[in-house]
Amino acid sequence: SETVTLRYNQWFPSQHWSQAEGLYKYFEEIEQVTEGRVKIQASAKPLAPPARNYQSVVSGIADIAWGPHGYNPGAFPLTEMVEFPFMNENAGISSAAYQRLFEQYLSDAGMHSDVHTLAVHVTSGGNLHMRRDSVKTPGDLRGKKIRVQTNVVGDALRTLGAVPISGSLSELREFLSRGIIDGTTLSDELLTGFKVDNYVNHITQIPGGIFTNSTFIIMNKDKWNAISERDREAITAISGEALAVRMGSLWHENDLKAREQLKANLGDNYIVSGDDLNTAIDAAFEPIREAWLEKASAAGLDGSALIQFYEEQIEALSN
Amino acid sequence: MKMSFLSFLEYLCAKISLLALIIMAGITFVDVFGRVVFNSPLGFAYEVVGICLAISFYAGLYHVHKKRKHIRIDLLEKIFNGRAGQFISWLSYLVEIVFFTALVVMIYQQTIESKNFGEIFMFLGIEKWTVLAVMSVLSAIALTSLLVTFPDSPSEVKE
Amino acid sequence: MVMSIAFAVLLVMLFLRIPIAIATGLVGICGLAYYQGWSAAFSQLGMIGTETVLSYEFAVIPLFILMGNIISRSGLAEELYNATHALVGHFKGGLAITTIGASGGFSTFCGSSFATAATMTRIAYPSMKKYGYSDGLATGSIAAGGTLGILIPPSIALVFYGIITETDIGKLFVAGVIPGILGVLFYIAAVLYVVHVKKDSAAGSEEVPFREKLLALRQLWAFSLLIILVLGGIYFGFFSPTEAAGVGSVGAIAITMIRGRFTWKKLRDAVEDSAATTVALVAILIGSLIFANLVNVSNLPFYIVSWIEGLNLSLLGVILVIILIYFILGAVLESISMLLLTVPVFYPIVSGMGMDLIWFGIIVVVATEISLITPPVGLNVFVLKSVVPDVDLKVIFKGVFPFLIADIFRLALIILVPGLSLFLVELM
Ligand code: NA
Ligand code: NA
Repeated sequence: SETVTLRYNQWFPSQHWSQAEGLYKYFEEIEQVTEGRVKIQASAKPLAPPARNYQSVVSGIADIAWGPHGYNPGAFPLTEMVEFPFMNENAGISSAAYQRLFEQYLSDAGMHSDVHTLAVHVTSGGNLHMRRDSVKTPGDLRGKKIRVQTNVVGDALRTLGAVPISGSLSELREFLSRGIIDGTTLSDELLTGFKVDNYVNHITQIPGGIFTNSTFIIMNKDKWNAISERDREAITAISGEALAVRMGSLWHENDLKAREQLKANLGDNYIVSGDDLNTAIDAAFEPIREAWLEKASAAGLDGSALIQFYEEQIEALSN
Repeated sequence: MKMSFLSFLEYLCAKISLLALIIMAGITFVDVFGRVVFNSPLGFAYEVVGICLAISFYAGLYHVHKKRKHIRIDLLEKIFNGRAGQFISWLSYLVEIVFFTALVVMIYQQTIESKNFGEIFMFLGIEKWTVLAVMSVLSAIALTSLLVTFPDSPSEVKE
Repeated sequence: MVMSIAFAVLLVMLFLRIPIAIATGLVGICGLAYYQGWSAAFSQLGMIGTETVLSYEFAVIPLFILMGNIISRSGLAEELYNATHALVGHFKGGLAITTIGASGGFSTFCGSSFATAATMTRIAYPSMKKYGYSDGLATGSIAAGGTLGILIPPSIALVFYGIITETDIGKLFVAGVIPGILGVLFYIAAVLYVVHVKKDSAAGSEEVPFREKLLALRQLWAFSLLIILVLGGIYFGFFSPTEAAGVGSVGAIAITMIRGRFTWKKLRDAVEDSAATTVALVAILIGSLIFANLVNVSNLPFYIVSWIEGLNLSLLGVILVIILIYFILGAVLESISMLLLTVPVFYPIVSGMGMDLIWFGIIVVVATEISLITPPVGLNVFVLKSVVPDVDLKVIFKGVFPFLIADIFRLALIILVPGLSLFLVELM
């Protein structure tokens, strides 16, 4: 039968392991399980700016896209739940739990209704990376300019007295090297992956992350429906939780590697947050949790039950 | 009455475009000054500057349409005299209308999509579609400027 | 095949005087519709038409244009010209050398070649006429001097390159400094060669007394201060290029005020001009980005990459092929659209071969710069022609020729000695 070639929106560096060892391997497997009837070709450069990644799939500019929900603040209120702190010690496990949450609750609530969802997953939890000053107590954050990626963590940091500054990953290097910011919330693997670790001299690890990125892997609906039912089933078998775990675990592996490297370089300047700081962060997120529960109930969901489900899944998968 | 309304639009667009540009420079300056001297940058500078560029562009489009200031290549200018020149001016004019009409429609569609999508500006907290709506109104006003500016003979078209 | 048709239609539309922005945009949409359907194609118009302008990064364009426009109205160009004239005007060919030097100085404020060429034509042409310079040397030195505007920072071309390739714009600016100075020196060499070979093409003017030389130079203190603030701020990391442009604009207003040259009318004119230029440039940017998406979707980059890989060339060979393509395209295309159309195709190739993208950026911009003065479409020559309509185009292109040779020597040097571009960057 006919071959379908799908266009993947390549906006992230194609050599990065998340692409080369993660998605490209998945794309190869799609080709294998469909016996070559479905092929995926990465674009030579981005087909749409990162903030339009999701919508480019909706409108058919790209057929497949991977990217964080956080680039469209406000557009995916339900995903904000997995961005809360302390719930992501192992991105592989949290990703599996997240995919289950999506299948059980979020999908029916209308999230991603305009695309076909291959998987959702999380990336590794973020820590506090500072240029000059160590953050040990909540007071150490006062007045510090911290670059954040999402408004969820931005709001929390503002509560803690910091000055959140927005900026994309590509601007991070410039921000750090020019001293425009005092630090950033970032996962360890991104710090080394984007080779900005030489600007960072102090790291405070937040176990389970001060925030987490929620990420989608989606396909255009028409293109999905153009694939034969047999091939759709074959693709589904290697997508969903399998794909979420594949991506999340890759993140966790690389995060551990990066952590070892950073610890070796920074020595005593790599610290783990104490109870004081954790409590303050938790409190700072409290109003955000409250607000989220309302957003959930606006979508017809019982937010507390969702959080409980997510935590139970993580618990079950961890043992 | 019709002309005076158009000149009012022209005046309005010109003022908005200039103001947006000045605000862009001013905000950038204050942001840098605040950060370097007082260690307190404006968190929203980043977003306001982007919005100013968008507003300045679509408001400024009116003037550029009217004065036909879009950059073009004047290589075979001498050949295009008289009737052939007239024809080519009209051809170019119609192509411009097609393009900019499509642009207006598509910005409007982006506005609707963004409204359904529910995006907000992270620091300003305002919904993104409101800014897109302003852009689509400005681009529509600019289109009327193009529609009422018929191509003159090519010698006059050139500045 | 589809892409050959697309390029052919694009060229025809450009020659039919359809604005560059619209020609590239429309051909892009139609091509995309062929590959992805009309709905997806039109969506890209809306997406690029909104995201491109709602962007902090692109704000660097109007802000540097604004700074240049305010400074132009403050009488700086004349003062630069007078100061350079006081120093070197009495040499044979001194006025042409003055033109080159003043163009180079003016380029440190002005990001665009056209503005540099247009400004210098008004100032330099009359005095060269007065002292009996040949039209060829007079217009040639102005047109060539104008090209310095896009390499010596700030530079709109480098900004576009940086945005496309996600390279640090500040570093690109710093990298452009030495090649820009080289440009000035090579052009001066070209002037000296011309006056040596054609003795009647130029004369010297009266030598200015030493005291007046100092006075002329002293007038320039405020501008030197501003340029140190803007470029120094970028170099030492106080601010990003966009911020530098904002600071520079406000600083330019302040300096104009301090020197008593400020009027509200001048400010309004400067902002009006900047707004119009910004609209025209951003419109081209939108059109080119749509066309770039077509290039992307058509998989042309992959074909070109495999073609170049098939040639089995060394990095130097690949660079030479790319420059050859720039010379061919540069004959007919306008500089910024040429850059926007080609860089997305070329940079992954050279970067894959391990080339430094900052160095490549300088090479690309110098190659683009050369296209501004090559026939048949040489925009600087057209700008000049519109200010001095009596001089024949042929005379201008002939006059430009020695400077073209100088450019080719400079380009060769920049390719052979990467340090010329990268030395200052590595010190940052
Ligand atoms: Na310049
Ligand atoms: Na040319």
